[in-house]
Amino acid sequence: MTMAAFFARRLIGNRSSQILGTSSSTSGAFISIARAFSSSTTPIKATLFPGDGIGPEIAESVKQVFTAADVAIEWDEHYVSTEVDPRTNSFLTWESLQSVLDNKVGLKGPMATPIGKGHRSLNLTLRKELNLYANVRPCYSLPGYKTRYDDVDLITIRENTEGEYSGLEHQVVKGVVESIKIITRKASMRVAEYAFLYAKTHGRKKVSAIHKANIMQKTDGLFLQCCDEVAKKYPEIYYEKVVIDNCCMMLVKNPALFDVLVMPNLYGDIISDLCAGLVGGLGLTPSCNIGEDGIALAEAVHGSAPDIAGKNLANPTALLLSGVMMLRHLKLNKQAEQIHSAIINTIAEGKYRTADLGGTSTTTDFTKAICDHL
Amino acid sequence: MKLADGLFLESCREVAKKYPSITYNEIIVDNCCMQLVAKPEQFDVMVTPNLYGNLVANTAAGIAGGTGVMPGGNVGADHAVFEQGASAGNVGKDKIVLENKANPVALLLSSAMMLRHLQFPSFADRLETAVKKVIAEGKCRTKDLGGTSTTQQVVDAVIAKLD
Repeated sequence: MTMAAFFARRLIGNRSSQILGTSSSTSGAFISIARAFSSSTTPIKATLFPGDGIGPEIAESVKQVFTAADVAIEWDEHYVSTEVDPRTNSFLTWESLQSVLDNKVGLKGPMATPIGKGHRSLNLTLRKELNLYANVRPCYSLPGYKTRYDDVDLITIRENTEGEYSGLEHQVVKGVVESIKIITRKASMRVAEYAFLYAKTHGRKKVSAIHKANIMQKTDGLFLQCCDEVAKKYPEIYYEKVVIDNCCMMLVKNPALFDVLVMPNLYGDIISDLCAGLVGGLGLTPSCNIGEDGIALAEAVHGSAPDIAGKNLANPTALLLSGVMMLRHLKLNKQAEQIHSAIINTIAEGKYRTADLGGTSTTTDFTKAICDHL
Repeated sequence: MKLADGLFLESCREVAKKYPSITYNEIIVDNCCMQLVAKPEQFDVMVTPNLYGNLVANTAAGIAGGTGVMPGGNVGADHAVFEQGASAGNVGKDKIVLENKANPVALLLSSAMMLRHLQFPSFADRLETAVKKVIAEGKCRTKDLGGTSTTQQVVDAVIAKLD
């Protein structure tokens, strides 16, 4: 279990992987070790990437709220460099990546990839170097922020390493291009295992695998097979398979039909953004990227909004909610719940809202209101 | 998908140049779905490659009332076949047919599209107007639109409304 591996590593030292066996994500032995050490009060080190544009301001909000809630986290801040680091072939330095690998947990604000060639995009760098295989996005209607849909409460879990985004395209002849979609048993099993484990540990009742296996019989077929296999191990969770076009339609007609959705890369990309649209957009949506060896990098998926940067207008909700996801991953559930309720209540109350939610509050006022609600 | 979707975009741009009076813009499919859900009125005509078109059509159908009402057509160089626009849910369900609950609106509107294609605009208009009046009235609707009418009842109502 991700959390167990994390604590075992930190407190026993790196020999833990030899003592306790492999750090595979579903080893039951780890969970009991974690319980023994989970009352530790030494601050947990977490990497923080404030990012660009409004990033630093909203990161500041997160730090304030976490301090006000007495969260024992020590932030290890890293910024995107202005030069390409040859060791990573990107604007993210080797030290930044190493920090996440060491701390096992991080929070990332919006990063604008600098234009130009000869270097990898920031998100691609993070994904590849940290082996982030699942993107988890909870989408729920925020009480007090009205959209066309009131009863959304679902989580999209997207496979993030292969599928249609394997980056394998070539021109056959001029005017004819081929793009290769890769689905592997390994990646599909990995994300399916995570999805069911997530459903179980978060008390969710249903997992829906989204696919187009009627047309893409081998690729999506393999993905479904893996989901079928994992589903058998969780008989208490209701499992269904939904074709992607049905899924889109059901989501816009009645999103309450869904609970946990697990999908390959492209569908996951589209569906997770669609679901974000149902509840109010990317400015309110948290997300968390799960990597091998129990790494979790929570991130705000909205852009860096350079036009409002530095003006104290930005909405820190997405980054704060991502921070809450990070806390839940660290099993600091009490404080996660505290902060989460404070955010929900502040928005529901309606007195302090940033401009994008239709209000006039500044970032600092909104943050202070949340701290007061704790 | 820089090469594949890139080629699609290049082609669209070339054609767009020939129609300067028509506003042309491009949108990434995930952003598009999000925008559709939040503010569908910003879209007019959407042209997409195969898979995205399937998803976008079904999303749009869901927003507009479901597969029971959305018409569609398949156009080729020499022939055209008209059928309902989005496939999810209202297809291949024998149970619905037996219970007489299938919504005929999608296919009726598709046949109006066919009439237009055949250059019978007045017939097409008459059919469409009748169908729209029946739905607007709200008295005769099949289950997917929240009513209790049977397929035949809806058809009879449309015929009654034809001028």
